[in-house]
Amino acid sequence: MAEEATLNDMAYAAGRLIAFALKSAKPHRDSDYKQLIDRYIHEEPFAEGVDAFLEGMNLKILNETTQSLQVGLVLACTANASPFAPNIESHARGLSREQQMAMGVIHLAVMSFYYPQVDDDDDDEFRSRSGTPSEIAGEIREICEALQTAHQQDDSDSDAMPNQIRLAYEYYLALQPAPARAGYYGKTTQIGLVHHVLNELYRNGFLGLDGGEGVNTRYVSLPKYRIYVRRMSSHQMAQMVRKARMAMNQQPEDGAVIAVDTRD
Amino acid sequence: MSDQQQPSLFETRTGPDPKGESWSQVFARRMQSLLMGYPIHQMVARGESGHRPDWDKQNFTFLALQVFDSVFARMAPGVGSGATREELIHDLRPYILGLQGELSDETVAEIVDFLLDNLMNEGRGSFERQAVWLTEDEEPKPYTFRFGLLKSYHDPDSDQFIIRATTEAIHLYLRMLDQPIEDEQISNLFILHEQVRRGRINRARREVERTMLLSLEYERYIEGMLRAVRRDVRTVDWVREVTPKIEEAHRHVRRLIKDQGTVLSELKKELTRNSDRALQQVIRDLIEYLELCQRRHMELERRILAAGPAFLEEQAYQRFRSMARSPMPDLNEQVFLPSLELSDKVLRPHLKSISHTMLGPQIQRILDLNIFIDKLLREDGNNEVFLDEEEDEDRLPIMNMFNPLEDQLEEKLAQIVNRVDVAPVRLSELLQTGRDMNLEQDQLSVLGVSFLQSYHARADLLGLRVYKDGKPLDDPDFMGDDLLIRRAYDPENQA
Repeated sequence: MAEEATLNDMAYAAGRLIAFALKSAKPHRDSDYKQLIDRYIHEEPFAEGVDAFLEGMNLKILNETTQSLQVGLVLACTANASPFAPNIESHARGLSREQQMAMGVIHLAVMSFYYPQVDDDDDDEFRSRSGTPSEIAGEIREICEALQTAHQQDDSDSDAMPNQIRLAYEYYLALQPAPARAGYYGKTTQIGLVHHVLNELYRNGFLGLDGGEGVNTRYVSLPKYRIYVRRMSSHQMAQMVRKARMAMNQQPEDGAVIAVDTRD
Repeated sequence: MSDQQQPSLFETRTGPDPKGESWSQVFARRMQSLLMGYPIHQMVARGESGHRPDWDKQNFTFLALQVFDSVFARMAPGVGSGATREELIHDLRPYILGLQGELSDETVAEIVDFLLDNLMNEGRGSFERQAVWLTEDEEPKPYTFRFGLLKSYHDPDSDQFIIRATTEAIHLYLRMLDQPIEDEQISNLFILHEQVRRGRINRARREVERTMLLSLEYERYIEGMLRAVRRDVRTVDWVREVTPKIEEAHRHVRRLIKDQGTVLSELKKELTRNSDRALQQVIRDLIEYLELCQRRHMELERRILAAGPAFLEEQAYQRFRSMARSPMPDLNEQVFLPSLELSDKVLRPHLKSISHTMLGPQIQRILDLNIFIDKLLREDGNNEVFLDEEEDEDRLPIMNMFNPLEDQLEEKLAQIVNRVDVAPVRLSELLQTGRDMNLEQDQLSVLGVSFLQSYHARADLLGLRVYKDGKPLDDPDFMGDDLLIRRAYDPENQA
């Protein structure tokens, strides 16, 4: 009887913890959440129960260290079958196939914008830079050009570069850089697409706002984003984009480098 | 028995019988009698209109009667009895060729098909008839109706189409719409009985054929009644209307079976009494016919007995459906209009609870960048998203940063780890053990880090726990010496 009560109590606490995590609640604003996270850190049976519960929903916790757990649990899907797995419908509704692929490359480029060095994402003390959509869009244009150059120059690498990446940067480069009318954020310009990606990241708690309004809104990265970027760092395409970015930075005499932001 | 009303063929009348018949009812019955032969007249008009000059000598009224004769002769109780098209062609052939000997077999078949098509009155070329009925207030009211005198059924056993006469055709053939069937059957049996008793076998033969047709018609009549009841159980008062009718029918059928039994035994007596072979053959035919009628009536009795439970069930079923619909409130009158008078404060929680109930749990998708980017950059036609498990393995255990550990070192590490028990040990003691084993400085670092990893339960690989006992740490250069290390709490071992 007592065991059952303990089990039910634990299941209730696990459910509450997962609910907080799914809501992207902030532990520093919600003391209940903080208590539950502490319980997760220190009470091993509870942690195992939560993990098993999440595993049943094809979810897992990405936070690797006690310190990173303090910012709240970061959930990721372990399989496409998870009911929480993102899909085109949920986050890229109404985009054409080319726009989707360009969006993928923009995501990778935004990661390398906030965490340019491979080790940056490992350093908990690393403070990210901030950028406006137009700055980031400009840098992504550079990255795409670098990708293009790499593709054209190196034939042996061209086999390694997936076709989607090529199509994506070709699509991105063919886009008009900025909208004709001020304040227009369609998804048919470079800034428009970048703004869409940044806004999506912001709404999902990856990026925070750092002043500015409208076109000049500045975005900074949050710990949750760093945890994800760390997970992505061994991704083949992510490495490719990062390499292109480093190649781009090594030849600044080419000029036209708009967005090499040295603020950080 | 005479108070039982003849069922109307063109409308379902289930209301109680008025005392005596109104003029409109009498009028309706006579109109029915007149109209019953309409398909035949229509067919004759078409057939003799001269649109097929090679048929000009055929008499279609005559052929129609021959068709009915053939069909009636082959109708027995149960599915699958009736005439097939080939049988009809075989039966009609002599009559058709008798009038026009030069017709080919194909033409004969065409004529039979023409007859069947028109008498069935189905499909292409079907016709309707407008008639005027009188309402209860004796106002003329037009009706349009369509019916056929023959109907074809598919017989699954022989995979053939079987042609049977409809109820209308049987009525028409007996020309007895103004007389209740039950009375007719009883009187017919009585005549038959008298004739057999007096030895008038040849005359009895005609009466037996009539008995046969009457039993066919009675079967149709009961079936029609049951079907009408089943079609709309709700409008029928089962206890007051249908039960007496079924009881009546049951009594009638019982009596018919009994009377037919009497006649049969008389016939069998006649069979032994007569020595004339021809007459004996006739009597045998009669017995066969009557036994067929009796089987039909027994079948009918069985169906009547089963009717009660079947229709009560049907009634319960139909009532249930109507009840299931009724609790739905009038949304406008009972829900929307009263809600307009509620204040915002009262209404809002209601609406919230309604929308939560109606919508159910909503899933907020997690923007899992790994999966999402893979989806965005997937190859065309490939919807599978690969998840690289190795990539995670590379990351999680810090041990792997130093991998591959030399086997020797791993062995030594395991030795040291095994010394740790539930009783806590200081890290410095463990490191001292390592130094005693001649480990190098780098290897000692790995050892220290491996232990420190156990500080966090999730990252632990060694099954250990690290905690502080509150004492200040002595060694400023290496922050771990005074940490306590013990075997992790293991619920299984405790149990």
